[in-house]
Amino acid sequence: MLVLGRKTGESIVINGSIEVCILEVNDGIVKIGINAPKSVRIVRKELITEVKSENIESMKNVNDLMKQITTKEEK
Amino acid sequence: MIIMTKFFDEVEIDDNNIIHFEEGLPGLEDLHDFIILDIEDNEDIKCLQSIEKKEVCMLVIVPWNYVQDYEIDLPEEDLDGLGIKSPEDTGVFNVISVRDKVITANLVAPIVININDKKGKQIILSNTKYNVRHELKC
Repeated sequence: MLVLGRKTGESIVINGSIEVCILEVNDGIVKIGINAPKSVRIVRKELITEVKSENIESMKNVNDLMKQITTKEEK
Repeated sequence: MIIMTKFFDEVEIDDNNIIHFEEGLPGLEDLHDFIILDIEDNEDIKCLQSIEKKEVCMLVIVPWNYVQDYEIDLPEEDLDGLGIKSPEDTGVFNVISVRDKVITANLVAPIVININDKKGKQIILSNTKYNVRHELKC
């Protein structure tokens, strides 16, 4: 991981076409602006983590789920 | 071909129905080939069964059977990657889970399939009002 310090208003350029700019720092929250080609997907990391966890969780409980939906059918 | 499945033991499938996930699925990046299997007497819920690992099977729904006004804006680059040019090319499913008898659907990350080319991707929507665990009344 590349670690560097930036001041408000300063930017980083990734791969020549993605610009990450520090817009504001306030109370531990950093406001970031990102300029990137439309083809570049930008997602908050915790959302990806959440979806991964939910897939794994879904598989863990799939036996219960199958039982529950097939039991309903018999009613 | 004949595959081993989690719930139905050996099943004969039509190879043309195998859906290829180039990037795997979030949390299951190493698995690329899946098939949708029906559940007897249940039209609304299907199995997304891994061809490569028998134990890997998730239950999925067609969202509009449960959430009539489900609205998704699929990023163009994801649609291009799947070769999808129109809604007629598209199949959408959502993974469901259960916790303490409450069944929820992941409406934030639909599984989108090009039904002609059999390519799929679980697309994470970054700008939605929906929940990873949307409670289903069923």
